[in-house]
Amino acid sequence: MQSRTKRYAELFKKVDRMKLYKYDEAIRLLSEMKNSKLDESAEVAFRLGVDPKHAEQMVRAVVLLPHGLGKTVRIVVFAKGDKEKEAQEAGADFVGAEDLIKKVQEGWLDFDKTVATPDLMGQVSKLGKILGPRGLMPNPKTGTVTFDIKKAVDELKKGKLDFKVDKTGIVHSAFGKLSFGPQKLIENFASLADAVIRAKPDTAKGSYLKSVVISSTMSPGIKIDPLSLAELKAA
Amino acid sequence: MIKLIEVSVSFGSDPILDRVSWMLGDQDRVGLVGENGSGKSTLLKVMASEISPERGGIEVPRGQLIGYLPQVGIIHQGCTLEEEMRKSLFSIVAVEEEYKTIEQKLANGKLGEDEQARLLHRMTELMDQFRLRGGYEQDARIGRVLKGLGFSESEWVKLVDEFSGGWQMRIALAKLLISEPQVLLLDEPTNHLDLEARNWLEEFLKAYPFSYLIVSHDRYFLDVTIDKVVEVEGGKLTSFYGNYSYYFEEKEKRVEAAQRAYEKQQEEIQRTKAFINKYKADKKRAGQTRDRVKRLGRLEILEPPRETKPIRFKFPDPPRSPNEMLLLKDLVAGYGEYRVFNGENLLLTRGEKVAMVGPNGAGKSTLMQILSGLKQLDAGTRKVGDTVKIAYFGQDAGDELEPEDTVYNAIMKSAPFDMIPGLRSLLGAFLFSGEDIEKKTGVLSGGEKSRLALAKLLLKPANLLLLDEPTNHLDLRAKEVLMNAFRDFTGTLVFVAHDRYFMEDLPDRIVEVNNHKITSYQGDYTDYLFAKERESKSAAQAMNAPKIAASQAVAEQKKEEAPEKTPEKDERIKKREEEKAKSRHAQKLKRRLAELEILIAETEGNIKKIEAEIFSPAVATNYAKIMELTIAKKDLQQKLEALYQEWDKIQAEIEQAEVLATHRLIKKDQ
Repeated sequence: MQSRTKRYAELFKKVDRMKLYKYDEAIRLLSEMKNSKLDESAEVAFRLGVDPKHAEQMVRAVVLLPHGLGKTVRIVVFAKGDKEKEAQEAGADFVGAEDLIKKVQEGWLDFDKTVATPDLMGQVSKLGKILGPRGLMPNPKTGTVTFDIKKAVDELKKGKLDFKVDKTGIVHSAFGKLSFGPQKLIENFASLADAVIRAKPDTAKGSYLKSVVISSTMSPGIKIDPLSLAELKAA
Repeated sequence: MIKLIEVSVSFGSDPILDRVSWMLGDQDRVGLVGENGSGKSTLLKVMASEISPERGGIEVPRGQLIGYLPQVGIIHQGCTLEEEMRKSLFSIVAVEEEYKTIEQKLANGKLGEDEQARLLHRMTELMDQFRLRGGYEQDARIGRVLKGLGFSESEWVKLVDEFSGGWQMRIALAKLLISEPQVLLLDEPTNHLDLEARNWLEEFLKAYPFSYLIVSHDRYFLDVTIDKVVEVEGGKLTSFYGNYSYYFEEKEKRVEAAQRAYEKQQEEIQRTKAFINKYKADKKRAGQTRDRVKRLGRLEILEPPRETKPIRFKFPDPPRSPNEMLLLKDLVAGYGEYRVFNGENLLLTRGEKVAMVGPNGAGKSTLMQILSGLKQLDAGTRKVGDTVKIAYFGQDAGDELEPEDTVYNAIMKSAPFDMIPGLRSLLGAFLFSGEDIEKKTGVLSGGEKSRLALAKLLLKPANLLLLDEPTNHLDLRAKEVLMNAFRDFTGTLVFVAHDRYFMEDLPDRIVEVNNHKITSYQGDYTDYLFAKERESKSAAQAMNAPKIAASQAVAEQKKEEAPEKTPEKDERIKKREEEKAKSRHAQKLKRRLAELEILIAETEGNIKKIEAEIFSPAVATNYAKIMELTIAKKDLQQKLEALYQEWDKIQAEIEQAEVLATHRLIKKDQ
């Protein structure tokens, strides 16, 4: 068994492992559990009743978190001509076409998000092996393959988040920093959870939200009662 | 999941599966056991839809992938190993191909807006599919499986055509494991694996996320990989919920219980019949008699449990043979440009039992073929003693039988005239009994064919048996029979086997074939492992001590100066040196034994002294002194115990060495 630090053991005492918390209660508890030096991220894992092996049960969507993620995002835009200029004006960190693609192929990966215009997708798709595993591929479903570069870049800067289910049926995502304080975190969490619930595929059978657990970068997990999230939808 | 409903299959008039209903669940880990020819492979083939049942049906969920590995007969051609592996990831390959087509279309440009949107949308879906089906991990997956099954990285680019029969099966196994089907059906997967790959497969299966069904005669393998055993016997399936060891115990219990139930019922029947006979004319008891007749008619008669008779079989006495049976001198042989051996020597002498070891593909089978005379030498000489009669059993001997012959005919054809009366008992010894001998060889299972081919071979008196993997496909009982027969065989035996049991008990010399070299080691497999360990240690020492190297150099020089030696001489010198080393070791053991005896006597004397002191009136009232003495006594007793243990161990070792020495003397006399 891995030995735990005193810091972790202290936090561990605060959490009732058997209890399913209401989501706001859980987030308040989480924000009290800050005892490390860094500004920890708040994270959530939704275990969903879907079988991602079936293409129609794919869960993937985007959500604009009201308070962002508290990170500065470095954005790469693949665009040519007028669109290149538009991207630069919108505040993209790196803009280019063939040159940028080549740079990525050579191993440069100092960015967090990518946007591409549809006409360049034929070339950008060659980066699939590099960007794909890191979740960095531009994607029309998340609005990152578009001619409306300005909007795409703006939204990403504001904290637009895309999430997708992994092959074990879990959606895992961050929803802010502990330094936001409980209220902002609750609002961020609510919009994320709402988006996950909305993304439920029609073909998914049985209960959709099987379990929900939140934690910070260095804290133990806190279980949330999936039923408490049903109120969100009603609200 | 696979569900069998009332499935029946028969070969000729023999039902192999008789109205079998059974289900392999989603997470089931099942071992399929039963004697050779009981229908295990047939069941697997039915489940894999390789053959369709005569009656009944199979239910399989839509879209479920079933992976089936047959016992033999898979050959790959026309691409490299890596390409062959990628073929098995067809779902990923299909996604990848569609992705590439879309990529090209997009790159060409000049698409309508709608078309472009549609393609982009499809591309996204494909990307997700690729990710979820493990497309990004495929290289890692292929690498892990190939490495585990013993393929080196340099072999990835080798054409699959170049791999030998055993490796072809490994390739098939690797492909199956990579494709990760929801149901894995493996027919004797360990037959073609060496120990290392077999252990890896064990671990792999333990972590396998879906269900599998394994046929194997490797008890240890089954014990760790399965949690349920299904036995095929008499066309029926019986489940046992436990691993193989559990099955073994439980089976015995069940047979006993069935025997008891059978006997009890027979008694009951006898009693009832006696009653009926006695009173059938008695009008007063007419009702009772009628009742019993009815009851007897309704009774479900129990079958007696199938007995498994211990079988012994003896080889025909080998003809008198010369001391030097077969000599290979300066052997050079290979395939085309590739040299398997280059200037190697090997001498086989009378009455030896030699086991060949070495990694797959090192040239064991090649050497066997050379010994048998089937393969020509490129250079060097092969000298066979005058009265030597060779019998050779190749790996695929079972496939050389005429499919239209019955078992009895097949064996009669090759039997010498005077052996014909004993044929039935010979077949019995090879577990073909009753109606089995009228079966056509074409319908026999892999194990049965192997057994028959072996029986055929052993009919002719020979004094040099060359057997290449005779134990493959044999079930545990057949192996036992063969093992006993080998033990009693007085001729020379050379065999290749991956069965630890055979290697441990039988050989008195191990011949290692590796890196184009043939090396002999006296003793059994354990001795061989010991010698190997010592070799690697001494190699390490040689690296550290230049002095040793220097003295070796001097020795080498002397050797070179000495007149040229023949391989026989080499062998003899080597043997003598080994004998010397053994006797030195024995002397050392004897000395230590004498020392120990003295030490034991001393310690026992000391203990007695202390005891006397404890009870002496001077000490009896002094508590502290008594405590001190008691502790001292305890220490001595512990020491004594340790001494006794060492004495026992050394004594046992000496005894074993003496037994071996007598054994060798007897052999020399012969």
